[in-house]
Amino acid sequence: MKKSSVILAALAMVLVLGAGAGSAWAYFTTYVEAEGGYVVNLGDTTRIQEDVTYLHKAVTITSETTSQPVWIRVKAYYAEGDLTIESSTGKWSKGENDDGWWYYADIVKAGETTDVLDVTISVPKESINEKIPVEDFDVVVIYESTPVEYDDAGKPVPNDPKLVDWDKKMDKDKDITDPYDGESQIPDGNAQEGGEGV
Amino acid sequence: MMKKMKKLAFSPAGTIVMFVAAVVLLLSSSIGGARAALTYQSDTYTSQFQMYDIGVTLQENWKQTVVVPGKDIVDEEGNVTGKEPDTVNTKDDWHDVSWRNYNDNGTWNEGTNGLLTHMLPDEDGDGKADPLIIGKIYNEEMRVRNSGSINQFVRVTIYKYWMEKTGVDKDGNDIWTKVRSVSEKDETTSPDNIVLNLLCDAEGVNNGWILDKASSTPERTILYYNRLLNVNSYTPAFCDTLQIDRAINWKVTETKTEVKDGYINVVTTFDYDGHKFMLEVDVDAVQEHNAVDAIRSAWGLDLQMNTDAAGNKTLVLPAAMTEG
Repeated sequence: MKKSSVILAALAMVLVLGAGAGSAWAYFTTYVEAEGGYVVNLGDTTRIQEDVTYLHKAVTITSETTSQPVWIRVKAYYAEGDLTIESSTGKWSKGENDDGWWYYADIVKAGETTDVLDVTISVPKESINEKIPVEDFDVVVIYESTPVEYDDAGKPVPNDPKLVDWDKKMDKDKDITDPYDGESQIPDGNAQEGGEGV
Repeated sequence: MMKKMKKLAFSPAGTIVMFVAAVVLLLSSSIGGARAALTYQSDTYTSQFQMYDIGVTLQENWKQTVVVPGKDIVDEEGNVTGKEPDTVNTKDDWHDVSWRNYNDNGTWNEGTNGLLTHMLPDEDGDGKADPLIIGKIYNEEMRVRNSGSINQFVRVTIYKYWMEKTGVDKDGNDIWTKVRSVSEKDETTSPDNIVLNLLCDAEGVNNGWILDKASSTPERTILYYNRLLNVNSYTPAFCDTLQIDRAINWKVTETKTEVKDGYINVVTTFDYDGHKFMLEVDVDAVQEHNAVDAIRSAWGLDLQMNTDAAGNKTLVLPAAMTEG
């Protein structure tokens, strides 16, 4: 083998080894990663409980365990006469502008139930035709709930159910229609409604 | 044929061919390195540069709030007439969240405790973290500590996104899948509703943190710390609060289906209900020595280095990065 060939071969070896040495001269680097998050539960499911005894209804509303905290208000109708609505604990109170609603003062959190609202038909007993079953007196109770909003400090705002915007509209940025393409059949307000008559 | 090959291999021409081949292979390998540098974040550089003495740690402030009850107000006759307002004091409580430090024996000491684990306070005192309140501003301070034994420069990449539950695995654990990002035209769940308040500016004059506007998106934010991070020291916080925008309370989608004879069934679903918001923070660190070259190699960026009269080094980002 000629001397020049040996030199070239040696040079090739040096180049190859030099390439390998490059990684050993690489820069000092490192990194870290971290992640975290929480599940958001939105919306609320509430149900009304009405315990009826003769001309009296004891109304309570319960929020399901997966619900957001909500404000609640109740309205009662009786077409045949007057109603007496009372709250023994004072947690329920009438709307200030005589809007017909009774507002529950406390935020109802997931799994909680309101105090009882007493709804009584204020018809004198003697005027009731005994031939008509009591069950036929049609007292309708409806209620609405709306999510509590919180300020930057985590305090409810407003902190009074009577000051809440009960007509606030949902932000419907998507509207999936299949196959109906008419107007929505639910109220524009955000509140849930429920209730039943006797 | 074999004789010809043998003759060719041991001839000067054969040696030259082998030499040229070696040079071509060598050049090819360097082209590969250049391509890696052009990518935004190479997955390979983190594993191939295993050198000792460098280490970095992400820290989170589990800030404690202590309420000192106000004192009674007593009149001249000794009667309690009122009460002074409570005083709210906060106390820093920094903890290591994630770390990766080189050991002398060729291994890495690395681990993570998870992010946001102490974001939710226990204000009602029941021993459990309070539920997440949409709209509330939570304390979420983070910083970087040099946990190695050489000085370094660092950058932080923050990802914000939403995940949804897509099933359950064979062990009964929920399977979470990342919701498509805004860049993929899904506007249902936006990372903009995860509001992380950053502490940075265009030149790093306030606390050293600079926002790379050019590379940042609603989902990804990149911050550079333009000052040298010395051994056992830490940066100022690069964020301080986290809030989930209360607008998500009202984001809904209506689905209408005709049930029978014109009756319509309308189902309203909350877009964000059951979703998980996620915050991911990545920290990259490079050595101080030959930092410009190291950053070019590791991060694929051409940055400048200024050194003042006192010898303090400062990274300078191109205006195209900071002005976006």
